[in-house]
Amino acid sequence: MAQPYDLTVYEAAGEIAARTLSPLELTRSLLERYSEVEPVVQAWQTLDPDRALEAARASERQLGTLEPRSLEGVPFGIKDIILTRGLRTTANFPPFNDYVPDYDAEAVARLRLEGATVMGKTVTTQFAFADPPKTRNPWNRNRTPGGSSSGSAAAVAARMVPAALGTQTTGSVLRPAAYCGVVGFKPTFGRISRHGIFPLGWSLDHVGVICRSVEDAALIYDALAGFDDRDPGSADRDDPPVFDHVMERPDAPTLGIVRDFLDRADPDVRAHVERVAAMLERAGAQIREVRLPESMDTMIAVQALTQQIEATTVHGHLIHEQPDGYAPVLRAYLQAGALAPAGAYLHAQRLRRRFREKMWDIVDHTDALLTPTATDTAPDPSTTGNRTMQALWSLLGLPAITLPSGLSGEGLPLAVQLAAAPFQETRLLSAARWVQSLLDPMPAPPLA
Amino acid sequence: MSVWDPTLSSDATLSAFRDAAQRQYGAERAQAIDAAVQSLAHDVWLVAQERLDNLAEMPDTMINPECL
Repeated sequence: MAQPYDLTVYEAAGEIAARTLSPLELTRSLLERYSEVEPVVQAWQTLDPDRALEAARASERQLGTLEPRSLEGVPFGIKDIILTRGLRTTANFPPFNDYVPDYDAEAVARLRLEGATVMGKTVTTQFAFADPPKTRNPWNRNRTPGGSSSGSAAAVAARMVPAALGTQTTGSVLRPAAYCGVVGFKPTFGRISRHGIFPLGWSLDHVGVICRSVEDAALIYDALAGFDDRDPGSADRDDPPVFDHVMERPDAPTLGIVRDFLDRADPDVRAHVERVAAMLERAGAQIREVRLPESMDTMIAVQALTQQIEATTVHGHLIHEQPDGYAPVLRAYLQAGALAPAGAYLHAQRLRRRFREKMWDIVDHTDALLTPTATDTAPDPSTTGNRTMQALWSLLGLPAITLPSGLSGEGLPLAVQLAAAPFQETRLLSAARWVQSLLDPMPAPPLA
Repeated sequence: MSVWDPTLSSDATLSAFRDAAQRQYGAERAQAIDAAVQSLAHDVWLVAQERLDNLAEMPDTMINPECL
């Protein structure tokens, strides 16, 4: 029988609802797992065991009198740029080491409303940018877990927590999830509130989920999604929940394999994704080869320029007040960003709109686009990896998910990425669940 | 000369950004941020190559004139 710490969110919530697993038993199992593997992985900025156990007891009381909520008693890790009431939030910025927020970010509040508990804060790169963190990849401690949601991905992969929140401005949910061999899901821009989260680039920032199955992603998404007038980018829509639909037996999808992405991938990654596509086609998927409507280099430059100028604006005061608190790569990035002319940003936004309109036409003729999630497997820890394969979905606000799809010859996770039309989360997750059903289950990393 | 000129080649764009970085941060700090300057110059140059002939292709950040 699986240890409680090895359960996915969907499995754990199901067992808790059936009263075959108690929230306290699950939390204790995860804390024991933390004691065993955290010294190697270093995924946590701040663990909160006392309040996690207290919250588990509260869930047990709830189960004694009321029906369980969708995430009743399931512990989460929260990326350390997301505010948590009463629990310090540092953004990995030393001057914020003692900052304890007095409110929860909306995403955290929504998790708690569904009965989830907060186990602690997971390591982020500083302000969710690119300076390498202390966290190591659970599959190989000499490789990066990716970033910026480094601790969230590593903690989930190492079975220290069944799911964690992350954020993505370029590729910070999907890339670390891919490098660590877990599922990462970023919904359409505006579907999950960013209220209470340190921004990096306000027109690009997304909240995302790192977990271990498509079922988990759907369940958590339903808890998190919805309009919030405190987030100016929030989408004022009333879409129905996705979980029940995603759990229906999905039809074989139509997938557009994007040649421009394959051309940029390392040969081993390209060959792997082509093998996966061929396998999916044999199983009944319609595979169409598609091309991006514009130069991928230019689209990536538009994303990069947009992020750099917005980040420079966000940090304009703080970097003048506390420059020595900044990590070297971020500091240089913000200082260079101050040199960019206003016209470059505005021109980039006009191009972005043109790209978006053309891409929507392409993506809407498929259930999802299929690409590698990353150009490579996890590189050495001097970087957080190559961001080019995830950047377009952040630039255009499209929903995207990464699924672990195998191991390389070096024993490192490989992954495929699916992206869909805006607000087509149900379509995307249904296609992803069909793909997941044909992939071999990803084993736990060899940490023991 | 502006550091952002669509007629500049990427090398000239980079040179212009390096000059600007040196003026703003001094030679020592400008050297430290050289990789970021190179990346920015490359992105600005790439974006600048793309023409937008249709004036209707406005950004979503456009302000509604009725609000002014």
